[in-house]
Amino acid sequence: MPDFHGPIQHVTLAGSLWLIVIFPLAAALVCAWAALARGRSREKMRDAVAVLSMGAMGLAFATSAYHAWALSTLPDDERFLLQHVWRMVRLGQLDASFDLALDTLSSTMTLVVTGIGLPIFVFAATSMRDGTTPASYARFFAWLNAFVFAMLVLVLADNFVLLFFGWEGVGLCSWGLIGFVWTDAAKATAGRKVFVVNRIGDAGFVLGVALFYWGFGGAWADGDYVPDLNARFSSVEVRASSGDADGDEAPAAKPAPTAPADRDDEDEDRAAPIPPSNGDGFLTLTSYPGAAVFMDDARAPMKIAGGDLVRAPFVRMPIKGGFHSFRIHPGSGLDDFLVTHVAFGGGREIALVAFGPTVTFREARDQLAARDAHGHMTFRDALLAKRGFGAVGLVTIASLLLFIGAAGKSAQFPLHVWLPDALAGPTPVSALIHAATMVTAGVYLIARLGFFFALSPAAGTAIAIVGVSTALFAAIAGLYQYDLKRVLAYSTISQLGLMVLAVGVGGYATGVFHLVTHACFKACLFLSAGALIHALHQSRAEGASHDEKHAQDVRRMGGLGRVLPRTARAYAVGCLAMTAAPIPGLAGFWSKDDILVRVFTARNIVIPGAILGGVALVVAAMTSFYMWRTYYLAFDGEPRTPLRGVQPPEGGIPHALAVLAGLSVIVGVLLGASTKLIGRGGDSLLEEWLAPSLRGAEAPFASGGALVEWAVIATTYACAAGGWLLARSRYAGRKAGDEWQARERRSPLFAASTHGFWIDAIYTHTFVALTLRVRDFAAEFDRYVIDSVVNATGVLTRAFAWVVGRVDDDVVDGAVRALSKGTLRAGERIRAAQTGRVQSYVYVIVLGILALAFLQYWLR
Amino acid sequence: MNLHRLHRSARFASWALFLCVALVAFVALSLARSPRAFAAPSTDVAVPAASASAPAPPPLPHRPIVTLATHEGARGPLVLTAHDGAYVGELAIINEGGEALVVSRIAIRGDDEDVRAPPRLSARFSEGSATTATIAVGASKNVVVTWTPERNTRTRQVFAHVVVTSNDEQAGEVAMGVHAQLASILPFFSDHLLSWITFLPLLGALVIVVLASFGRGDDRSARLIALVATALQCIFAVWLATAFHGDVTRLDGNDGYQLIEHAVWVRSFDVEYFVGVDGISMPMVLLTSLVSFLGCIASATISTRARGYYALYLLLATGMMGVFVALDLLLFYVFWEVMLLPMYFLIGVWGGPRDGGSAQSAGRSTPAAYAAIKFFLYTLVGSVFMLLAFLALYSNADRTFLVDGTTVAHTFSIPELARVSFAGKHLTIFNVGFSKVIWVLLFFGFAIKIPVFPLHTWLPDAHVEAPTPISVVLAAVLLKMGVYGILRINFAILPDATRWAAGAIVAFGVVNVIYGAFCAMAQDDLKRLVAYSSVSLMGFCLIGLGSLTPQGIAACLVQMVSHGVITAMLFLLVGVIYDRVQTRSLRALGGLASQMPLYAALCGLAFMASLGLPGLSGFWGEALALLGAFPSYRALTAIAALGLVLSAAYNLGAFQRMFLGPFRESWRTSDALSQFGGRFPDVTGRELASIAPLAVITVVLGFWPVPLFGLIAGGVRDVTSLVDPAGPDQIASLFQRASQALAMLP
Repeated sequence: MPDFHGPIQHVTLAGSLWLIVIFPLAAALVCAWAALARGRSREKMRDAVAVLSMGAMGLAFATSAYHAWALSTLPDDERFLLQHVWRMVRLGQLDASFDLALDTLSSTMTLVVTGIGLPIFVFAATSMRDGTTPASYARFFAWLNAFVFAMLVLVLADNFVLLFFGWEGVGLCSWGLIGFVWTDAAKATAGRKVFVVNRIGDAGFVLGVALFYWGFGGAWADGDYVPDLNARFSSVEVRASSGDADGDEAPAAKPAPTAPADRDDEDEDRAAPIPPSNGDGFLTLTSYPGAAVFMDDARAPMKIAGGDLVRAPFVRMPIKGGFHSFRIHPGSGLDDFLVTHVAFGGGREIALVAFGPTVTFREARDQLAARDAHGHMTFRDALLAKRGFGAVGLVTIASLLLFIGAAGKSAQFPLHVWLPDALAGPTPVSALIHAATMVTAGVYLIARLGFFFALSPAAGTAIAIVGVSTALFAAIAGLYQYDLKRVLAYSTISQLGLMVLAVGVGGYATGVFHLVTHACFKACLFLSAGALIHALHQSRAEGASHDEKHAQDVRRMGGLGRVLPRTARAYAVGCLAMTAAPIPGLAGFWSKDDILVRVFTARNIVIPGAILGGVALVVAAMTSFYMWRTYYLAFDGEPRTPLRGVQPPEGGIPHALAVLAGLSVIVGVLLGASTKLIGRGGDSLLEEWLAPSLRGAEAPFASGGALVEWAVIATTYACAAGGWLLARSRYAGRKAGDEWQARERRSPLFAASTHGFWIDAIYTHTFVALTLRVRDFAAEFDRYVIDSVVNATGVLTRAFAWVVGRVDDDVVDGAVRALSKGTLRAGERIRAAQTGRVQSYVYVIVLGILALAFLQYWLR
Repeated sequence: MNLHRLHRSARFASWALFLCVALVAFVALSLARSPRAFAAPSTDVAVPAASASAPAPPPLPHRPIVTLATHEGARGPLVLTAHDGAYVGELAIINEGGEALVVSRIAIRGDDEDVRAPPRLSARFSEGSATTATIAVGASKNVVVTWTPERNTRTRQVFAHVVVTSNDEQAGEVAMGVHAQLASILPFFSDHLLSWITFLPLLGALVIVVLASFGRGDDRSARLIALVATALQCIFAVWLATAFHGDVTRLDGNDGYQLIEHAVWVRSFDVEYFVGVDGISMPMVLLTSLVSFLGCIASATISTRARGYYALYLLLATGMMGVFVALDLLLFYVFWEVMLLPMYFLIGVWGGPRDGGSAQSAGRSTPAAYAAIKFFLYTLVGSVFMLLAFLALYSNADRTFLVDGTTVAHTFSIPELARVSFAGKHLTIFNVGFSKVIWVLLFFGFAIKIPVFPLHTWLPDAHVEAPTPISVVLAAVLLKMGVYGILRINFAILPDATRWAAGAIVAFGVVNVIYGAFCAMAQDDLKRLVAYSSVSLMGFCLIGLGSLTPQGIAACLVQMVSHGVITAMLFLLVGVIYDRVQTRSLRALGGLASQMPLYAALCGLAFMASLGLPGLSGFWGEALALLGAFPSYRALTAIAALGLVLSAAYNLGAFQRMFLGPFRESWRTSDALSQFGGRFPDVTGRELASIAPLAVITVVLGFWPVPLFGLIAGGVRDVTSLVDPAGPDQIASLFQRASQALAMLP
């Protein structure tokens, strides 16, 4: 019998997922080649580059849409397309392959990325023509396409490792795009800041992944972690999800599957796997793609009817009833895995699942949902029991570490500082990266890992608090900015804070909903602002002082609605969609309302949701105020600088704006509409669509009922409308002279707001200064301490050698010299005796004889 | 000593070369008896160990004396010859004593726990009982040794021993070496691939020296010879890679090594010529040959005394390669020193600023000479400790057999030493455990090479002064020798001490990562910056090494390769800008992206690879090291993760200061650029030829690291099972799993 049972993610193999990512990649490579190819920089190249990029984007959107459609044709719990592209690393239990996976969540994301990306590309193709050489135009689109590629890899990744490819890839492309005009040192520095701050988040992310990975295996005994280095495979009977995510009401152990009664029945039913054939079963193996499978003592890998080798991944392969053993050979140089005595029969589907450490999202989720024969969720309980770094739960720590990564990407406090600076990049970049896609990666990550984050209310609460405080902080910071793009940047941070708040309290689908609507209306806002700036920038030739910096300053705008009516309308639609006031019902209205309902009814957090909700209402009011402030300042009233020469945008720009404005209008109703309309459960359409992807991530909410919902809607609308009224009363119409600036300056929040609460300055004087200090210290330590120790050793050695040399010269050699000199001197003295006179010799002989005689006598 | 005066002519360099060549010639001469030649009777060997085969003094009447002989009546490995699919050889057991010899057992050395011989190798008597016999006085009996390799076997050769146990108590167990080699197409090359790879550059050096001493050959021909020699080495390395099986482990016999060449070298000292590769050395062999070749291409800028330069360069290449293939400690040491000496001259003589030579005043040591002597002394100190440790290991080794079957009391052979349980001997040195002391001695020697803080300061100096290709070789290959040595010697021979010291390795690694990164941030000289980034990146190697998990060990190996590739690329790129404007100061550069777009793109790639961007090869080493070390060293790993941020800061900072911002128009009129007409020429074809392969490897391994992981898989498994035997909490040990898998087979 299988060791476990549970709702294993049913995978449908799709060989075409790579098509989604290949077009932007190819376009990026071609554009990069064009940018680097010297001597070919002709004007014609621009058209080629633009057409190529837009075409690639269109194809990416088309393939995304096709796959979304393909997904929708599958049954609910089978909505998961998987493509194993190639193996990357397989070590011990670590299996990180280049696997693309498309479930409903990533499908939503691909549609957002490509769907919002396409109008932005169209916009950029026109707006980037000015001020660029053909080569840098090509470079721009190379980076932009590469960005889309990285973002698509991020959302299509089946595991953490591949996700990290996209995760860092978008950071890299962001660096390249923000610093696009790199001759401007400030912009280059802004690009670097983006990368480095993101990297801080990534450090947390990597640690989070490590904890996540090891947390699933091994044991945490007495604070010492005993890693589980080897993979273990178990057989799991695939059943639909039973019971809620809490697991405390686990159903009684189901009757053990009986041994197949009719083993003899050998009729082949390979063609139609769905209807259970008599006594046969099905085998599924989606881990370790490319692994060869051996069944029942066979030396040769399993073969299917066609004679092809059976290699993972495969799903629902018919297996004859009875007990079988399997050997899985994951690759050369790796241990084989054994799964023995697996019972097949009765049409049941058995999956072989690698339990233990994993970086693959679906495997982790499967593990947490698996129940053993007694109905206990063994792995989930084991995971929850693990503690690390003191008494804090491992899940909480891992969630928070992963959230650091998410905060880096999604610009949450205190890692938000890169986003306002990132607006140094061209406006399409701001629209694509800093509104619609890259910044939402953090929210996407949390939604993707909802099944994990939902396990820790503490972490969820922390995330929600960070989210709501970021939302509040950024809303305040956005109140009185003069730079139009800066307002939008802070509003992005604020809205991201709301998304994070939503996923923090467990409303994963809600967070994604706001992500989608925000992508639409923020792209619309950014592009209309971009069109406005572009138009002002263009008019520079006409004598007005609209250089780049001034072109974004709302103090120099006003009355632009008259010369740029379509842009003004698009901006207004964006504002409406974002603030939901004064006309409710556009995109943001639905998603923001959904967030607030979730927050007020949240159960999976440790503080009352009303506190968070109250703050969120303030944020909604402020949002409404500052957005309409910019609208009225820019488009309404009297022009503050001459408008001569300001021409409405041309080319693709109006079309791009129209599309995005249209999306901002409809997408909320579309996705937020009840599925009762199409005869389904009654949740919102998006929620129903996302449900299979968010399985296991069902955080509990209080059932508020319609009353709560309506109350929240009314309150939210009231707040938003209040903000709008205030903005209108202050900035709309002819009333706007210059006194509004003085009035703003009197506001107690003005200084803090315009300086973004001085966070940048604080960082400069603390972390950055500290790093520089340590840097200088390290360098000087190296030069003066370590090297002087080395040199001193050298000097000492030489001194010693000198001493030895002196000793050698004076003592040893001295002795030798003394000896030789003494000998010579003695010789000289003795030479005196050699007189040559016979008499002297006779005397000596006589004396000698006498002496000898005396000696002889005396000694005897 | 006054280095400069000595250097005035290249004669000194060629002396050094001559010394090394003489040394190697000695090696070659002692090897004249290649495995096949062992069949010839050896009369010149009169050492005690071999006297067993020499006509013995009058035998004691009442003792059997066992002697093993091949058919030719000689000692030496019995070479098995092919007989329809099987490899067969016969040896004789001769009783030369005065009493009947009772042979109680003949067997292939090794057991289930310690698989030494490849599977399907057997020895039995040609007649009668298979493993026992009684041999009358003066008689002999034949033993048939058979190896029946499986079809498609991964083991292409056999080095094993037939062990005979008899009632000759004085001799104890005696052995006969067995050797078989699967037939190949070009046996002259393919059976000696490692020797070819190792000594090809030396051959080139000899040719250069010989030509020079006859007054023939100029600088151009020397360069050509060097290019050909290193290119051939590369080709052989590719051949080697195709012949190598990444998944071979210890269980496949031959101690997990492949492409072994094994012969007795210095019999009186039990030294063998023993080379072979496994998953740990294979990537390094490939890296070394590639870097040697690319460095040779990049050496085109060397214009003075080029013949001496290339001769030394080739000698260096031989030394480096030898270190990675040697499996005998003394051989390892010889190559280690052979590599050291040319490096010293290459830095000291050809280093320093170009055209700065004339400014040197006699008697004052130049920075280049300072750097060279610093490098030399540091490394020499390290190798002294290393040699001490080697001798200590040698003299405490167990009784074993040389490849030909001679019984020896001690051994330098690494696989044999790996079997000795030094921890179990309870030896002490100054009251400290023997294995710990030796471990520390070895680690000290290797740590200097890595280099580990605080022994690292030779590195920036050496890099700054060394000419570009030498920097490349130094960073890409020489630094790896330290880590390689730890893996090959510390881990294999002293696993217990390794477990004891694992935490310290990780701690050193973390210090390296952080300290190196901070130092790199502060540098203005680009070469210094890259040198310190090397210190930082090698820290990840140490972290992986100390983790003792398969992920960590693999990370270490991968990081070694990718750091080699990336740093080589970085130094080549630094050389490009230095060749143009004779400065490496970041302060002086700026805004170059508009002048040299391709160069900027390549540099961007290299810097990104250096900061560990996913999709480039640097990522795998860093990420896996952190992942591998995390379960055991959580806090240390968390600190090391800061390195991710710091590396981004200094790499991007360097890139920005070089390429971004406004371009300084003053360059247009500078002297440096006058030869180029006031413009920065972009990367030339020759420069691209040396850089592009590395760039391609970086990207390919980043997205598709399978080839690299395939090479190291078996080696990682062996090392891990050695230092981290599966504990009770782990699911199953390697051997349990293997036996389970075998049990499933019919």
